[in-house]
Order: sequence, then C-alpha cells, then structure tokens
Amino acid sequence: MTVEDQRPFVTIKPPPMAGLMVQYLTPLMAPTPVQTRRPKPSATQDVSYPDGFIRVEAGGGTWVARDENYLFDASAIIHAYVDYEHEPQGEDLCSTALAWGGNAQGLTIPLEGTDWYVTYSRITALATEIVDPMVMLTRYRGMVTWRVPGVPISVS
Amino acid sequence: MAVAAVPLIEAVVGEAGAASVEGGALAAAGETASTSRLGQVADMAGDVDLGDGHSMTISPEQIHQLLHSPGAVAKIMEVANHVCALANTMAITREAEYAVVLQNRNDTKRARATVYAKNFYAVVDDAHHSTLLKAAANTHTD
Repeated sequence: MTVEDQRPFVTIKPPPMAGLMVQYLTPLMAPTPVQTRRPKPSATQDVSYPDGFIRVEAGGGTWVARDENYLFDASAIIHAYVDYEHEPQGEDLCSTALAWGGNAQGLTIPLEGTDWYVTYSRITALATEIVDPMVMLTRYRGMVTWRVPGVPISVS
Repeated sequence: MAVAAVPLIEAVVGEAGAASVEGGALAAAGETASTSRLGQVADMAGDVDLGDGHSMTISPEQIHQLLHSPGAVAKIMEVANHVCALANTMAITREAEYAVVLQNRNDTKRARATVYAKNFYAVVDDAHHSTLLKAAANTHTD
C-alpha cells in the first residue's frame, strides 16, 4: 500500500495568483506587457516603456473558513511602471488593471490545464504612487483580492 | 468577547422589533466587518422602513458609543496587532520595524487602528517588498 492509498482527505490546491493574474490581465492590458519580473529600463534613454509595464506579485491570502481548505481569499499586488514625467499614465494604467482585476467574478480562468473559477473579486488597495528602489521608473501600486475555490489534485 | 448591552434602537413599531434589537446587539459583538456595517447604519437618519408596516428608529448616539466601546476597540486592536506582527515577521530589510497606532477620538465615527512603518528601514522595506499589503492580505477579516 502506498502513501497515496492511505491518504484519507482530498488534497486541495490554492489559487496561484501571480500566474492567474498574468493570464487574465495580458489580453486586457495589451499592448502593455504584464509580467512577474521587475522592468529593466534603459540607463541612457528617456523613454523605455512607452506603453508602461505591469508587474504582478502574489500577495498571499487566507482560507475563508478556518476549518477547511476549500475557498480562498487570495490577493495579487499590481505594480504599474511608467517612464518619469508620465505619472498620469501610470496612475491610469494601475487603475485600469485594478478595475479589471476587481471585476473578474463569475469568470473561469484556465491556467496550465486547470480551470480556476472566481466567485468574488474586489479591489483591496487603490493605486498609490510609491517609488520602487530597484527600478528607475515611476511606480503605482495597488491590490486586488479574489475568492477562489481550491482545486482538488491527485497523483496520477 | 463581552460587550455591554446598549439600546441601539430607540423606537420600534410592529412585531419585528424584538428580533431586530437582538440582531443589532449580535452585530455589535466586535467583528470588524460588523462594526463597518454598524457605521453605515449610523448614517441612517430618521425612521427605517422594515416593510409590512414595521419601522424603527436608529440611535446614532448609541451606535457611536458602541463603535468606541472597549470591546470594539479590543477587537480592532487584535486585528491590527496581528497585521503588525505579520509585517514584522515578513520584513526582509534589517532593523525594519512596523507598529500600531490607535485612533479613538470621540469626535470621529468609530475607532480605527493603523499599522505603519515605524522607522525608515521599514519605509524602505515596504517600498521594496509591499510588506504591509501582504500582511493585510494574510489576515482574516471575517
């Protein structure tokens, strides 16, 4: 008998928010790139990202009921970067991404062969201008939170 | 958590009154979402139409008292202290320190607690790693 044969409960996987958000926002925000890494602007050019750059970061979260791993409140932090002197564009970019993120409820988002259903979505932090010490660009930062059922997984 | 019973509703017309009073007292049990809803109730002026000929009158003064009560403040501080402890645990920048400050002035609608970067190391840490957002996201609020 293997360990899998002995396991009495279903294994529930919580939502991978960074991957989901990249998958979800990429077509909505085009031509702005949506990625998980920090942008690397040119040290010599005034304009590195004419369409801006969006970075998505998993913010963590909690399970909704304390005694079961079924529904999760999972967050994604959205960073919108633009070249200096383009602050209004950065604020608009971040707010637009937050708006789409806050209205994902009712959608099923496929990611690497798994369908993730968003039961509830909301904006949990509005766009705030705050410098990223690692990047020579203007940054706006906000957060969205999705309530997503975990997905059962098994060893095949 | 023990919360002293206060008369939330000044006047009730109709048979729905008793249940509504009980519901109001339960909602005041100190949960943050409930206190937020109570704050919205406090904005209601005059009679609230409950339908079927029932109506009630909200007491803004008593709701104000409830939102500043020791039980509500204790619950707010419990959540804020949890967020703060998480932030201090998650902080990557050396010597970064986050702290909690409570606002419980009588001229505001409700008590509020704020988690903030206590020193410049924490300011840098939050700018780098969004520590406060992550700490808030990792805290149960209901």
